[in-house]
Amino acid sequence: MTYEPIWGSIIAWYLFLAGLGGGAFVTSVFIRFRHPECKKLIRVGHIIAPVVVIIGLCLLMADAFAGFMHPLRFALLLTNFGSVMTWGVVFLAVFVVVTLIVLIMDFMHKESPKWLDIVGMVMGICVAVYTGCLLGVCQGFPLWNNALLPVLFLVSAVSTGMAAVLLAGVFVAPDEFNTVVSLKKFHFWLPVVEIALVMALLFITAANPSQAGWDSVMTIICGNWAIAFWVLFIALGLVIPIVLEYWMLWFAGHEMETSRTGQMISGFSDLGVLVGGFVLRLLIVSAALPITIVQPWIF
Amino acid sequence: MTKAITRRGFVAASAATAALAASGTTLYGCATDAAQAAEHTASVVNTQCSACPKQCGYAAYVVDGSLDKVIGNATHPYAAGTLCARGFGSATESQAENRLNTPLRKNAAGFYDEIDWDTAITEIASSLKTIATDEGPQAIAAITDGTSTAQWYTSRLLAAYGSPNTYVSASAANTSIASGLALATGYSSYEPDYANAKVIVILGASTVDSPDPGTIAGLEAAKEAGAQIVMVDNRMSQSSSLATEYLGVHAGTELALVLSLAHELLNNATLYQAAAASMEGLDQWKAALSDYTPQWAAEITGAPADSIVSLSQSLAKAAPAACIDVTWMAMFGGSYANTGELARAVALTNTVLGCWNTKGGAYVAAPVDWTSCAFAPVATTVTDITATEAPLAVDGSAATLIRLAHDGSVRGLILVDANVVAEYPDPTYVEQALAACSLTVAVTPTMTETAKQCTYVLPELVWSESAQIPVVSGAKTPVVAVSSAVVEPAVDNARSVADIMTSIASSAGLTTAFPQTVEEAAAALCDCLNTDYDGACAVGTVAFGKTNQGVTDEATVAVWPTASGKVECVSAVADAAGVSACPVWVAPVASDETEGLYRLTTGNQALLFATELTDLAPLASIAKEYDLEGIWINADEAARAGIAEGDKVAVSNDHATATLNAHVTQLIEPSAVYMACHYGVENEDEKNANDLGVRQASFVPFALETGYGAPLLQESMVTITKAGA
Amino acid sequence: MMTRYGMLIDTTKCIGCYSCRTACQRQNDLLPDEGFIRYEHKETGTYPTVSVESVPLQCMHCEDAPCASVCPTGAAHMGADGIVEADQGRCIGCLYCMSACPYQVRVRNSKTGAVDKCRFCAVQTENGTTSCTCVEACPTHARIFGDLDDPNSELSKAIVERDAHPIAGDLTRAKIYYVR
Ligand SMILES: Nc1nc2c(c(=O)[nH]1)N[C@H]1C(S)=C(S)[C@@H](COP(=O)(O)OP(=O)(O)OC[C@H]3O[C@@H](n4cnc5c(=O)[nH]c(N)nc54)[C@H](O)[C@@H]3O)O[C@H]1N2
Ligand SMILES: Nc1nc2c(c(=O)[nH]1)N[C@H]1C(S)=C(S)[C@@H](COP(=O)(O)OP(=O)(O)OC[C@H]3O[C@@H](n4cnc5c(=O)[nH]c(N)nc54)[C@H](O)[C@@H]3O)O[C@H]1N2
Ligand code: SF4
Ligand code: SF4
Ligand code: SF4
Ligand code: SF4
Ligand code: SF4
Ligand SMILES: [Mo]
Repeated sequence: MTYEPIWGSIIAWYLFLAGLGGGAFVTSVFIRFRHPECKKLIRVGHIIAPVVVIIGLCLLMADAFAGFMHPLRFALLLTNFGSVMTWGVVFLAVFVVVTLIVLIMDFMHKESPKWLDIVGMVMGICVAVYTGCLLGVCQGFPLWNNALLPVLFLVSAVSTGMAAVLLAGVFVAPDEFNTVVSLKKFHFWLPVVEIALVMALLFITAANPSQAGWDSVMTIICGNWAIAFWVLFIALGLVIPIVLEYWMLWFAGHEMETSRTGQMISGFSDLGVLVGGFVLRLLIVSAALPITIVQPWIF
Repeated sequence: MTKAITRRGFVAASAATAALAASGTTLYGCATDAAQAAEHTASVVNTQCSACPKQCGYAAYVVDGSLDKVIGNATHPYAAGTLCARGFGSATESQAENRLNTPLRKNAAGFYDEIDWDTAITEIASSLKTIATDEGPQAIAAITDGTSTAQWYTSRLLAAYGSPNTYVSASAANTSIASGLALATGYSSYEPDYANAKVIVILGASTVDSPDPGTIAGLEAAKEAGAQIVMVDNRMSQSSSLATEYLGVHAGTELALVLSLAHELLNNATLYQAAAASMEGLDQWKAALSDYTPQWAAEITGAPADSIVSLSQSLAKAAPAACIDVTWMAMFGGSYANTGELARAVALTNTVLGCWNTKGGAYVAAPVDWTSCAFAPVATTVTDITATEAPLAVDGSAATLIRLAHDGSVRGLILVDANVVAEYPDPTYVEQALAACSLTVAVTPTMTETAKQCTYVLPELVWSESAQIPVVSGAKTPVVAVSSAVVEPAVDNARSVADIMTSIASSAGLTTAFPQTVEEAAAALCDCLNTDYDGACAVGTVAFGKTNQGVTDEATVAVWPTASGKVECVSAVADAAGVSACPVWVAPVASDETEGLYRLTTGNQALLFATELTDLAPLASIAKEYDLEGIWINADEAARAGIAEGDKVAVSNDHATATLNAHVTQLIEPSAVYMACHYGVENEDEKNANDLGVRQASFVPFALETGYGAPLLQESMVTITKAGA
Repeated sequence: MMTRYGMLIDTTKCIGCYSCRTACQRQNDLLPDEGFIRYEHKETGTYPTVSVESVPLQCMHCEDAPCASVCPTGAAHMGADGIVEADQGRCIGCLYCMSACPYQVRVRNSKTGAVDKCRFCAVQTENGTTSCTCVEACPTHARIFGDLDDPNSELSKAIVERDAHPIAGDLTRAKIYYVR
């Protein structure tokens, strides 16, 4: 029989947006500490964080059809604290509440207390890690069932969050965009780390005793998902941003870096990071094959 | 919950069912108090599965007007207390989405107009009358699916018009097996005593691949008792674990295997002497067999000579608790140019084994004599129209009828539950045959490919919506199974086949008596079996004594219903029909050993019965999930052609080309491919089936077996190539 | 004493006939595309020395049920007598349990969106069934249902006699035992 993935692109969107939101808030806190003057960029982060997470949650609820038809059942989500999803709901709830408070204070031109920022940042990280753990506890899928996935998702989440803030910055706050050099330098390294993590993930998965691990990796690198993986994730999402930013940060002159063209090039590389971030979630969700279908125990 | 289970215990289903059924029609489930009891009140109706000709009896539990559980009758020889996958999967057939609900008549433009029942019945009745009067009753004919009610009423109606031409669609395929057996023994079917057999040679895997639960239970018992069960097929089926041995042969060649087994067995003096007494012309047959050594058979079949020798030895040793089983063998039976002769050879070989009507052997099924019944069969004065072309066909040949219709010899044709366009070789030829008739009537619950070619389409109730004529089944312990209506019709304007045929008869003013209700006929038929109809309805399936019957119990047949009163090795009729006087080797016609050419074989799957089931959602969804409609090809051949499991392949010959998924497997011999039948329903009205598979019959030319008149469904070769390559 | 229900499936007897699946669908009133039992097939050898094995899989009623531990709503939970239940009225249809079940035997009801699975339906017998439908329907008697904690049950004895084991060893402490 042929195996149909259990979760589809909606869940990939959800994982992507949750990570993105968490990362965006982390970014805004980062900016507040390193570049407190960049108020617009901070606000951009404050807006993106709750908005994308709420969109993601809406998608999730719509995808959970039985709950969608009986919304009261969502109250039951808090009944099993052994469930990663229950914890995720807690993190997301706290995160959304905190980020909304911060956002409202921001609009009211009030400084949010630092401890609240820290709480939000910790929740943002938790949300990002949770998206990896959600998949990670599924023993039947070698691609998911390992300790690297949460780390990979965390790095990708922070990276996409920063990319989103920077990309928006290109258009709403070009001056501030030029200022946040340390953010950019930090952001530069994330795709580099990601490449290492992805390679490690693929090696570990391929070496899984179950044939399903090998098969999952093969569908990704030379099967149905190969184009998405190589073109959209590796090239557009990682290598091109690394090359462009490397050139921009260390080779291109300050002139170039701060010119409109330079900003657009950076913006393009951030867009690539975002596309890559989504494609990563989609690949991981869709290409994972369960061991029972490939029958390691059965034969 | 624990309580429920421990309190009820694991009572054998059989006992529970029987006790419940005997206690009346209203039952209480496992309720702990009165309130719950009321909730679980179910009425129990005894009925039968209509999904295949075995017609297993079962108890249907009905709660609030809808079907709840279905429990196979423990006393039914085929149900054996349960049902098969098709039985469970088709129990809710009345709920199918695409039911017809209005009589239709084709207009000049080729579209259907809705008409009312009175108009439909009056017009059909008078058309039939006009044809019968102007061109003689020979010019009207009918094909039914062979289920009891359709066959009983339709043949009665045609006989009332003076026509004997009512055929069973199954005879499209099992004509040659039934006829070959009849030619030798006078009986057209038999039933191995699986449970007590020591050696059983099963020709064709489908005994176990499209099984009824009773047969499986018998084989299980045999296996447990240490019997040798040899499955002979050119493909190993999923269910091969029921056999103890598999003997692979090339498709279409086991006539050679059986002839060489006979050759060996007749060299055994004891067997020969015992057989000579009950067989006519045994010497002549023995002489004709002289060249058929195991070495010779090995060449033809591909089975090793020493396996054939040792098989003949174990048969001889186990005799008479040993037999060769061709079961229904309809498909395989009606498939090759040599299958009538194969059946004859099997009947003779079994006689040599002395297995008839002995424990562990095989029991012949004696037909019931209905002449004393209040509604006795109606005699006609003319002979059946297919008798000239297919003189050996024991109950006429539906496929020959199609040929005659194609040639213009049939004017009026009634098709009751027979999807002849889908199930006979060369669909285009069959469509032309229908078009050549001036009146074609399809009686069917759904719009089939066949119905689309007919001038009238009459919406029919499905089995569970109406009472039925009882069925007699089983050879060793014959039973009668009755069938009452289970649920209210899901559509309001369909009619039962009984109503339709009765109203045509009365509209035409025919003099033959028709019963007022099916129950009246059923009671009369039960009477004839010394069985109380109402009592039978309470339990579903009842055994009846041998009072009315010829041979049943453990008594060897003294007189065979043949011309000589013995089992006949030599047949003048066969000789005259262009078939050899005694069975000798006949090669299948489509043989071609060119590399890349494969014989296209077919057969049933556990899941499906005919196109009727292919469209049922629970069954279609399994077929889709497991890609059951794919074509089997030997793995070594596939590797040579660069074909991998699941690849799309083009199957092609002069008649058709189609693309479907390859199932690459070591379970089939290299020179054949296998495509399950009943897929390839090309009909947008049958939504679940419409995109499933390819029709095997469209690769087959319309050709009939000499003398027997069966369609040669497996006499075709195809090429298989990777699609797009 | 507690009851701990389990089942034995003897794949040496299974003929892959699909009867258990359609029977389960009929008697438990499931949707046409909702099958609690799925099959794996395996052939070995080369023609004509070849063999084929069918392995029916369904909810293993794991003692350590991953579906229950991940289910955020408690819809998937360990019920009485060791039967893992799928509470249709609690389920939100997030499909987390489907991903977590290592045996891939949970199915989404395409009408309600809730996730369901084998119920060990012996406990709901009425209207003619006296044990699990799949056990009663199996024409080769490849299945036995009973109490694992009762060493004298037909099931416990058969497990010992036929040396039956859960399909994936200790993983999840499954309560369906297979004879291979
Ligand atoms: N599931 C299911 N069961 C059914 C039916 C159904 O449609 N579905 N139909 C019922 C009806 S109407 C009938 S008439 C009977 C038909 O039942 P059978 O007459 O038993 O025919 P098939 O089931 O078509 O199976 C033919 C078998 O013969 C094998 N075979 C093909 N060629 C050869 C050959 O040359 N030699 C040997 N030894 N084997 C060969 C095929 O692989 C296949 O296993 O089945 C009945 N039972
Ligand atoms: N290629 C190929 N051709 C074959 C065979 C084969 O194996 N391969 N097998 C041959 C054999 S053995 C036989 S018996 C014939 C079988 O051929 P048919 O007897 O023509 O069987 P079906 O194709 O199922 O057509 C039965 C029709 O019955 C009607 N029907 C009656 N009752 C019901 C009901 O309750 N529900 C529904 N939905 N429909 C009902 C529907 O109109 C349905 O289409 O085919 C023969 N032809
Ligand atoms: S063998 Fe199966 S399909 Fe045939 S009558 Fe019995 S239950 Fe129905
Ligand atoms: S088999 Fe799957 S569904 Fe059943 S209890 Fe175990 S994890 Fe849950
Ligand atoms: S789909 Fe239903 S049963 Fe499964 S984890 Fe979600 S809420 Fe629980
Ligand atoms: S125990 Fe009952 S619910 Fe479970 S698979 Fe068997 S029949 Fe279906
Ligand atoms: S009913 Fe029995 S033989 Fe048939 S598939 Fe199920 S377990 Fe196997
Ligand atoms: Mo048939």
